[in-house]
Amino acid sequence: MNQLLGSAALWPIEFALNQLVKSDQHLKSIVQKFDDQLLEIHTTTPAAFICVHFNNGIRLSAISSNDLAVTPTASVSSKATTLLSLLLATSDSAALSNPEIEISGDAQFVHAIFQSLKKLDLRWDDLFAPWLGDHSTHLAKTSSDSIRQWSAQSKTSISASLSDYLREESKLLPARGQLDQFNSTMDDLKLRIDRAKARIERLNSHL
Amino acid sequence: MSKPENSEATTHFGYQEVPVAEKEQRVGDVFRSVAARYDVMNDIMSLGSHRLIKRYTIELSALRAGHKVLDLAGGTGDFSLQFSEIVGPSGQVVLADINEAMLSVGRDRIIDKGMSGNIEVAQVNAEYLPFADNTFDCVCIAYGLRNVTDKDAALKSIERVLKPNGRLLVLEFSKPTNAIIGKSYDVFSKLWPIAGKLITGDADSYRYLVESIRMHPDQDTLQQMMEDADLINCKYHNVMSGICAIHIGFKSH
Repeated sequence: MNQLLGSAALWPIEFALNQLVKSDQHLKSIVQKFDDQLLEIHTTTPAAFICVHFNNGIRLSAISSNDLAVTPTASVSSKATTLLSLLLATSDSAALSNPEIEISGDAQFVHAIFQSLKKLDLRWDDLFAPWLGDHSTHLAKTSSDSIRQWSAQSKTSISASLSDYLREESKLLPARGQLDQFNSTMDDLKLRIDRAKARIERLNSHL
Repeated sequence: MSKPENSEATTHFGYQEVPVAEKEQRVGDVFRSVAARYDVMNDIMSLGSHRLIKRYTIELSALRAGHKVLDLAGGTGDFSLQFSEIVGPSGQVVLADINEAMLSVGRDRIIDKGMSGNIEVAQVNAEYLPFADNTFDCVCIAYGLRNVTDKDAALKSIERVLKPNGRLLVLEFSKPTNAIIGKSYDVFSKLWPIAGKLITGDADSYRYLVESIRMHPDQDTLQQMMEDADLINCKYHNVMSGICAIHIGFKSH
């Protein structure tokens, strides 16, 4: 039942991916490079499984290669967050050598897929244009671009303002040397108070 | 139940016992009657779930580019169209069915979709497949085996045409493993003849469908039948708590 539900969940994703491949010659040539190869992806947290079969397009399956009685070209296993962070990583070799990622089988194939993913320039508007119409897609695309630009600008502006704020605020804070001297004075004072207390006790005992 | 009076061998046709020679003709009449509205009725009777089950079956086929597939009892060509995309121009799909009316709907659909390049159409009897030994990488028979008169002969014939290590997929209605789902399914399936009457004008064919499902061997019996036909590593996947089951078996090396 789980496999059937998994298969159902992967169906629209597979459809969207294949539509993208069909509409983009560059992407098509990349996918064709991997023809007849099978990549298994296991995520440990959350526990999930996807089998990606490159065969006249991309076929996604929730059935393991063991159940299919076939041998995968390579298997990748890790936490979902670690695998997602791979996509944002700048250095592919360093990202793939992360000890949290287990790769078995043809590592060169995994490396090639990873490199291809990094070079992708997907245009989602091409995918939706046939259904939404050119005008609606253009509106959606410009809105999404504006939101993205606004987010990027906000991020840059906030980080710049934050560094300015910290720089100005740090001027008001005591320097480490001053703080150390203050602490040392406080320690001396505490010591002198203790001695004074001891002396008072000794004098009281003589009365 | 009516029992023929003569002494010749009989088999079941739904809940009826009919002479072996008559079953093929009767099943043929059923499918001739429903061919035009077959896909619409499938959607109604399964509430659309047959599409998911078919996709799952195709995933289990593990087909690759260049493979040769026999879509047996393929009727309206649902599977053939999808197999065709997977095996690509270097592969081949044979859409086969014993019923000319169903096959005609399938062939028209394939031509309309412009996908006749790697799909051949053949009218065949599953018990006597007219193909050379070791021809196919995969044979798929979906919702067809229960209509075959001599299932053992059909399985042996399929085993013969499979290539060594080729796989047979049998998608068929089966026995629910959950009592509550089983009862609900029984009640639901009693509506099929009514839906059949409304949509195709033929309640009898859908009454036969319900009866033939009840008479079909359960999961373990069918697995044993596949093993008896010399298929190896046979197993089955229950779908929707056993309402359907997908049996898989391989031809030995």
